[in-house]
Amino acid sequence: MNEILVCSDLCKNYGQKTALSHLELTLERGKIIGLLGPNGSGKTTLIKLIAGLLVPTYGSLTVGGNRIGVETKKIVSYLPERTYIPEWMKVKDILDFFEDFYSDFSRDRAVEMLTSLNIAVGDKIKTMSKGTKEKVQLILVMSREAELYLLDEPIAGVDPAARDYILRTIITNYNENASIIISTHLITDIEPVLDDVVMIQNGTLRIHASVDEIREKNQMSVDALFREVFRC
Amino acid sequence: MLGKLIKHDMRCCSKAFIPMLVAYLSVCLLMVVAIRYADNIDNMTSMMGIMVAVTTTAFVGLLYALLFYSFFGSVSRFKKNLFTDEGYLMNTLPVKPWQHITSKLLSSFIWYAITLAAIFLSMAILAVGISGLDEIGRMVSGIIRMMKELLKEGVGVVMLGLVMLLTSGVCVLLLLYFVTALENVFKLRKGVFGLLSFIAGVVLFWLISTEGARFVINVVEAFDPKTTQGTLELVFGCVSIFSALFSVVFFIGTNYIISHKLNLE
Repeated sequence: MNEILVCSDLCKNYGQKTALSHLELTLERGKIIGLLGPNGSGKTTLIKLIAGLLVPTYGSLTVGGNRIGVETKKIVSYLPERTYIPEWMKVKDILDFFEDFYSDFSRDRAVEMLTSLNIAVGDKIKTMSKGTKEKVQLILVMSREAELYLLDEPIAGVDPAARDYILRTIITNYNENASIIISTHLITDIEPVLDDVVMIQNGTLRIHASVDEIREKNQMSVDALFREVFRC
Repeated sequence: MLGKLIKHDMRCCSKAFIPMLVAYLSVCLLMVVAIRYADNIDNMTSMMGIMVAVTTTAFVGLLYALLFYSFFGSVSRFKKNLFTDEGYLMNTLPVKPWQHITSKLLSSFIWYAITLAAIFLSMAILAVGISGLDEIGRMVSGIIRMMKELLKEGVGVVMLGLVMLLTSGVCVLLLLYFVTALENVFKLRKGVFGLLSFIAGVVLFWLISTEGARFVINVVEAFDPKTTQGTLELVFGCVSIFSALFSVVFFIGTNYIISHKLNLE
């Protein structure tokens, strides 16, 4: 089975508002996929549904052939758009936490990455800047040998140098048989690392193609295509 | 996984509890020292008199804070851990929702037990410090004698009383967990539904209490026990069963909401 993610007739409503509408999407293993779309298109909702933080209103969603639950959470590594590490913790505490709950977590790899950023395991989370907290979270997420990585806006709000570091961390640390879904608006920055692109608008699938196909067929970059498709 | 969750919950709580417990017991010791060495406690202008007043106020304040935090802190942790930003970490762990609820419940009760132990310890410190070891020896032997009498005469009442306290505590805590989870379902209109959830919780609590009391009265009237001990056993037993039943309902309800209606914005 080569599919890591299968969404079938997937719908998610927030009260009267429709966030995802009858989404049909299948993603293969071993790809880095850019999840693109304008604000409010349903990107974060889709990621949260895959992570198990939201429940679909209708339709089905499987990861590695399993419906969302304990088994999928074992193989999905999720980086949310916000900081979630409890403030009372030290870096050591959150490393212990990940080591306890995720059998695929490599503490050595995490410590190595933290050291390269001059973050000590004894550092307190509450004294860190927002950017440093985000880097710690990324390191935790990328230190797992997951089958599917969900990165929601991993490079938003950080300086260009940090962006490079983050993208390098993603590329050098993911398991080659795994897939990565990256949601972002900063397309130019991530375009060089993408294999496939999924564009959604108003909760429906607009484009699902490989980056090579887009360049070949449209004779333009993903960023240029995005600007054309979603022109205001 | 449940064990690991409990371990992390205990560590999380310890960050607030341990300093409070240390402060409480330290103030208790200070109060004993102040009382013992006060030249004239009635004369509050003396240094030791002021010391006694300050330490006594701090002691009572910390006691209330400890009791308040041990109960409401548990509900607040449940909400913060599962339904705020920390929920992004906790709800993506490969554990089942019932394990989260059980872990929070058990760690809360472990901290209640530690709080109670600290309160007993402080009372013992006060008794020894103020009255001396002889007096505390007499008190302890008196308590042991009383316990023996109780166990001889009404072991059933004592046991049922403890079971009732435990089940009622679990029931109230699970009701608050349920209301907290319910609030999350309607998070999009947080203000209104937050208030409605709170009102629903109060109404539920009132209904359960009054219906429970009515049920117990009916049972007592139906069985008509002739002795006080029999009546107490019946009342404690009924309240325990009633609380246990509602605890199961609230547990299932909370578990259902987290499993099927989780709505982390």
